[in-house]
Amino acid sequence: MIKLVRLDYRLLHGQVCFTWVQHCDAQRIIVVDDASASNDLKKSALKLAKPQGVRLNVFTCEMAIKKMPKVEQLDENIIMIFGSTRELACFCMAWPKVREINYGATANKEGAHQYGDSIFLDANEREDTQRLLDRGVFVYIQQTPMMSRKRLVSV
Amino acid sequence: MRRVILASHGSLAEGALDTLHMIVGPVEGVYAFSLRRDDVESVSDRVRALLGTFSPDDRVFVVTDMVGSSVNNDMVGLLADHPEITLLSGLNMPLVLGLVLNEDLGGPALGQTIDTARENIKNCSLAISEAEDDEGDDL
Repeated sequence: MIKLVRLDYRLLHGQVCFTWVQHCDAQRIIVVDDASASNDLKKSALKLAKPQGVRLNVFTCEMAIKKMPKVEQLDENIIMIFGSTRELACFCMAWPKVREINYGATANKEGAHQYGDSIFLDANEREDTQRLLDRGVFVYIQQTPMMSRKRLVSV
Repeated sequence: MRRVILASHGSLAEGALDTLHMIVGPVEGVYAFSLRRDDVESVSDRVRALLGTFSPDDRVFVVTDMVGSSVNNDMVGLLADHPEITLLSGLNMPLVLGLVLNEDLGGPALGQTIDTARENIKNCSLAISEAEDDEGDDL
């Protein structure tokens, strides 16, 4: 069962490995990030970062969509982490069962608007986010389970 | 409740607390103490004063930077009067995170938390070069 769908440009890091994995009692993490899925060193770094005893897959958006029927059959608590809004929107358009998305962190950049402590969205990211909101997806900003949760209503 | 007291030479303990806040967010019952060259009051006296504010049912962990260090030696001196303390040395972030976040720290669970923290010291350069496409994660 997919317990958490998260947007986080840092992918696997302390907040995810130590807090969300425990909070969700996760047995598997699926990273959806085209750049990591096509780079062996990045993939190895993710393997190194994952908590012991947790399974890991690193997929491109396209691969992730193809794998979903199988993923749904797994008797595991699963966290999906997306590296960018582009991959997230691409995935959610093809897999509309995602109804809730946790916006964890995006990088600050030129022209970005800030929506939370660690969420900065530029024009493209706002457009991707708007597509999700238009579909009625519940988007909330929250870094860790202990931190406050804020609903993102519009961008 | 659970209390975690971090103690170090210089700012390591305060830095660990700052890192903890960044990774986890707000946490209760975690304290940092530093030994300084110009200390008037010893670290153990300051910790002793804090211990006096705790409830008798509190579970207290004291984590120092190194075994054999003056900070740790000082804390050993607290054990006789404060049997509620579990004293640990070798402060690192996985240990602090484990002590703060793991729900169960009774019996073998504490040992596992320590083992996990110890295993986190790793030659990553070696591990990266040995990482294989592996271990039944395949879908």
